[in-house]
Amino acid sequence: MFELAIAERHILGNPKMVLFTVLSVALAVGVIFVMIGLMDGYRENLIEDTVENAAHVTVDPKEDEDYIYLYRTLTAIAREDPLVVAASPRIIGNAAAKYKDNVEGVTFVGADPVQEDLLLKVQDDLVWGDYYDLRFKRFAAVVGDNLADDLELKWGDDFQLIRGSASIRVKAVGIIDTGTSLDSTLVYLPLETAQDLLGEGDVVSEVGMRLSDIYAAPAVAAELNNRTRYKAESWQDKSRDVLDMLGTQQFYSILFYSFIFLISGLGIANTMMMIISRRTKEIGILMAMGADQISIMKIFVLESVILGPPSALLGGGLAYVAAKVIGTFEVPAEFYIADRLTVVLEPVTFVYVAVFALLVNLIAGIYPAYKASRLDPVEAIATE
Amino acid sequence: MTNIIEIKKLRKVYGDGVELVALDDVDLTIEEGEVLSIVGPSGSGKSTLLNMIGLLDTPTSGEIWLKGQNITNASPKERARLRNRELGFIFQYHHLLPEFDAVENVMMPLLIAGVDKKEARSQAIIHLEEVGLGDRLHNKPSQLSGGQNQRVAVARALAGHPSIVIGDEPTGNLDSKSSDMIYELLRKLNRQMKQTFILVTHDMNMAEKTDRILRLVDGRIVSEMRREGEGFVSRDKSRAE
Repeated sequence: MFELAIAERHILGNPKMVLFTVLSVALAVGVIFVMIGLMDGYRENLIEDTVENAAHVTVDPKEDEDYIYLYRTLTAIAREDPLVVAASPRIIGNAAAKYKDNVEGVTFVGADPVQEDLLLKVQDDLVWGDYYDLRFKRFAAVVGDNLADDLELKWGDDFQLIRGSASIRVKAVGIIDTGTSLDSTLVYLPLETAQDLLGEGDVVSEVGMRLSDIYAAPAVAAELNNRTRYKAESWQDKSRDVLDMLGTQQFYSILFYSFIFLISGLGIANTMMMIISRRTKEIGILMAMGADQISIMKIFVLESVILGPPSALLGGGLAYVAAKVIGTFEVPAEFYIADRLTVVLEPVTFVYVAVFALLVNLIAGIYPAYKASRLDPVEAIATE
Repeated sequence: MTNIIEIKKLRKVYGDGVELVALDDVDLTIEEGEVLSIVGPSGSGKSTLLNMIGLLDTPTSGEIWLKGQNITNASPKERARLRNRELGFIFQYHHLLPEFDAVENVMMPLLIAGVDKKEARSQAIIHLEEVGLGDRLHNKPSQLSGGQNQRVAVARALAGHPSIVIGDEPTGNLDSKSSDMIYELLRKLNRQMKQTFILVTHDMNMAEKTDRILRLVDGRIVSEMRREGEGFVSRDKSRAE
């Protein structure tokens, strides 16, 4: 295959031009790969965040009721499914917390510490004290760390929770740092204490469930909806909007990536045309020697395509380095769901991007190569 | 001897608005093994005629026959194949591929013909030996003198044993010593291989060493001189007569 030999020599004979062409495609590959990686990272963080910090399935009260009354029966039904790791009846309400002269609005969560810890791994987030103290002390609370700061409350201090005319006095037995915005409003209480504060009797607001397989959540929710009149919802349903938004964004991203590739494709085409205009005489000579139009086209398409793999590999390398660098930046919690941006570089994504880059090289090479193959040999040879 | 090329009423007109007649009803027959020179002033149509014979250009009207086959309207692919198998080109400048060494340049037409690489290499080396460059096989064009490069170009034109070798001012860019050397080389190869040589030249010294001299003026063959013994016999073909 003499076409390949010529293409090869042309490339080796033009190191600078080749370098710039390779760089332009490598940059496109790198940028796109990192951007897809960021998106995948965001999705992964989001799912992790959702799955770790919220129930996989949440059961809400029946249509026309505000609370779940027969929550012990419901919890027993829920636990029949072997996939269910925890089913925690929880009561959630709003109150005011008062310590000395400081008052803050809080969201209190009353739950059985054993089930709640299985559900949300509460104990892992505690920075002070012990969540399980709530099992034995009726008037005890675990307080979000930012809320504690706002109230100037320390571990072991007593403070007041006030809801309407009800008021209870509890001791802060633990400080919790969940890493989310909840930290400035959250107060964990024993279930009975919370029920007292709410004043609605022996009821809960919801039952949160944790599963051994997070992707079984929709099926588990559907099963509960069939068996009871309570409203069970999976985490996927709850995050539907965000997941849909990610889907929509993906469409625009692909459009955007296509433009990046288009630009680098134009760059390649331009380089190829420059190479061809410098080689016009040579093309004429090759034609005189009997190279037909297909051979001439092959030479220049090959030249363009040969540059594809090194560009893709270099781009992959750049993406890898960029991902490492991006991973070292800390991001404030209010901007992002995790404290660092995660770039997830999936090999399969790289394969897609690389194949696309090869296609871009191929397509960008075709038009200049076609023009070269249609040169008039007499004019080509006469070119100075 | 058989006719290798027959040209009938060949006409080439350039331009859309203002027409320029480059070849005007040229009739020409070339015999196999002949060494023919075409002379004439600049713009007389020498190169155009050569490009037609070399299948690089197509006529406006008229016919070209190669080895008894009318190739006037051959497809681009067929013309490329014929250029590769039947024709060898030597240009004024060597026009070697700069990134390839001497052997690789001579191999090129053979590789285009689909000859196996190893076979092409050994043939190329033989051709380079023939032109006296057996010791310069791996030099690139930039490492060879003008005369040496032109000899590589001759070797390249002969690779694959084409039946016709076409030279467009093959020595036009060389000093007289190198010119003589190239010409002697062509003559020697002609005797050995019975190839047909068609040379366009300004150099009457060289033309006078060929078998037949055609003189072109304004796209017409105005005179033809054929070697007979030591001298030339003139046949005036000007229509003005």
